[in-house]
Amino acid sequence: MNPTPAEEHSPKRRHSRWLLPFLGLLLTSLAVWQIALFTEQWVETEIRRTGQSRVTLYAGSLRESLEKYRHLPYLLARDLRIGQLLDENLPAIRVNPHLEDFARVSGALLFVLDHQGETVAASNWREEQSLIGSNFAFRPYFQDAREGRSGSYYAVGVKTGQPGFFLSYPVLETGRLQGIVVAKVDLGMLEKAWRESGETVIVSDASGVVFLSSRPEWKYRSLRPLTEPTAQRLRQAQYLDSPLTTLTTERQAVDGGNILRLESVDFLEQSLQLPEYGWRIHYLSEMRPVRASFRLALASAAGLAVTLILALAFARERRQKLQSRREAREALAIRQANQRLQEEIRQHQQTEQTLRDTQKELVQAGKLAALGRMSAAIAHELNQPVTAIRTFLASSRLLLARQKLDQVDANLDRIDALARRMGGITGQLKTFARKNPGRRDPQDLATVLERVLSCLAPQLAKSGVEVQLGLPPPGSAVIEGDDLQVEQVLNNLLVNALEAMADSPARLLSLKMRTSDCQAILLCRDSGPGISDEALESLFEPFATTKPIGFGLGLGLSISYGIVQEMNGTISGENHPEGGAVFTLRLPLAACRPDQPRRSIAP
Amino acid sequence: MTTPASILLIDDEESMRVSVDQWLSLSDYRVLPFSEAEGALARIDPWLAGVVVSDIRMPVMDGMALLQAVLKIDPEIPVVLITGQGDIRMAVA
Repeated sequence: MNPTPAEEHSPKRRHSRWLLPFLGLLLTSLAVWQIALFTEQWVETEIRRTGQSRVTLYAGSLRESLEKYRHLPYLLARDLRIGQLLDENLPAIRVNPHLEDFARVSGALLFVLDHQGETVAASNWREEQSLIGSNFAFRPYFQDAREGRSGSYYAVGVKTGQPGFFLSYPVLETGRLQGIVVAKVDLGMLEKAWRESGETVIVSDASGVVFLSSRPEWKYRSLRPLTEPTAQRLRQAQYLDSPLTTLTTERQAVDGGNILRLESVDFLEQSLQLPEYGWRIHYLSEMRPVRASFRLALASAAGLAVTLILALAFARERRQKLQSRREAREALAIRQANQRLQEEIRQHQQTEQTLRDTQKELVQAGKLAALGRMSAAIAHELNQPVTAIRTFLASSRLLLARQKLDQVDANLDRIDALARRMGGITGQLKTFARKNPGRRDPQDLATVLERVLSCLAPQLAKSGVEVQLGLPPPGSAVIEGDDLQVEQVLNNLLVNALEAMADSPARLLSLKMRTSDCQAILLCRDSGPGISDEALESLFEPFATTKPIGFGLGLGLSISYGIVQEMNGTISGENHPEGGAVFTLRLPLAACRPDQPRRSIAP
Repeated sequence: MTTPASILLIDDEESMRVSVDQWLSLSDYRVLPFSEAEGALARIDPWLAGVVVSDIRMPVMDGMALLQAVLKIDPEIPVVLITGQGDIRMAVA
């Protein structure tokens, strides 16, 4: 079976719920890593830049330390006494103090070799390690000088065991080498200064042997493996039997230098070639700060991120708490509003109930008032005939006593008529009270109206009422109903109009009948004063009459209303805009009866 | 033999007028019946020996108005007002 959409979607929704924090964490981690990398690079760049200037500075100072002695052998080579010494015209004893004097001023060790490399004079002639008598023909600077060039050479002193930089200059006499003046510059001080600076600086020779170093442990060791002959040669000529072991190195070229792993420590190596000496000076910056900075930055950034996330989480939780608190408050407010509303509704219902009760009471009071009016009306209507009957009865006794039987008979007729009249009044009440429907015979409403009009003709004529009559074609306004009831309705309408116009100067009764929408419609308009607002409200209520007691029961319109309703018709009254009252009677046409739902539903 | 007293009987209601007229006539009164007050007023003069008997509730001119008018013509003539309903308040007034 296929999964329902809800089942399909719920895992996705669960995914998306975890996806966002996961992505956030991933991005944060990446950012932290990037920050750390950036910091590392920045530190590395700083180190590189510093290293660049330092290596240049160190190279400069080294060069300066060496070059300031360059002129010494040159000058001494032209010294007359040196020349005489080499010519053997002057004993060494005369020259040695002279050299010693020079050496003291310059700080360099000075000595003179003859054309065979034998030391004939030296500034340290007084000392135990005096070079006098030693042969240095094996030194490369001797070779240089023999070829007429100035020489420079770093080596460890054979006699003194002290390393130094040897500067040489040949003493020539008409192109022939007479001897060599050599100045040995002690670089121990420079090296000491380097060591004390705390920085790592080394100088290696063309073979890669470190001969100057701020780290003593690397001195006379090689940066690259030496072949045995080379090592042999170097040991003999330069480094006085130093083992010249190879340092463990590993190079990795990077931007602006090398990463040099030297004796298991990572350095950034920045080097400068010193071509005039065939050397290379190396400035080594430890990579540890870089690595440390990376770790520090990583830790800091991560810490910051964690703090941030925690702060965010805290803020979010706080916001949610506030939100839920606010929602709770709102819910409470809504609940309170609801309660108030319900209370109001309850009060309204109560008010409505009170109103309805009051209305009922009013209706009851109205009924009682109507009953009172009715009683008064009935009493008046019946009292007169009763009084008349009693008077006729009294007279009849007298007439009977006088044997005037004809008059008694006449009186009996009168009493009979009066009794009938009383019966008529009670009959009217009966009609009002009766609920059973009358017969349903087809009646032409127009014909009924004409009949009623003819009955009322004398009264109309007497009151001087002008009648305007508009009737539909005969047989078109056929309705179903009891002829007497229909007559009564029409009679009530006309008598009502007649009475309304009793005090009007112009007395015009307009009767317009037509058929429309399955209805016979009669408009009955009079020229009376119209219906008062008060009367409009209870127009069709029983006993509601505009006439004072003694002028009808006030049942006419109410009876009409009941009859018309019984016939599924309507009757309404209103004031015509141009004056007078208009009553509209609508009765369903018999021809349309089959369409009436009453019939179609009846079995 | 005295001249029977005249009774001016005024009532708009025919049955009442006819019955009272008959009864008073049988009692040997001379009855002058009127269906409305105006006709009766025309017959009243200070020398008339008689009584006015009138219904109170009538259209156009009612019994009370007739009483006022009659008293202006002859303050001493007796006026009897009759009514369908016993209305003490009206009688006292």
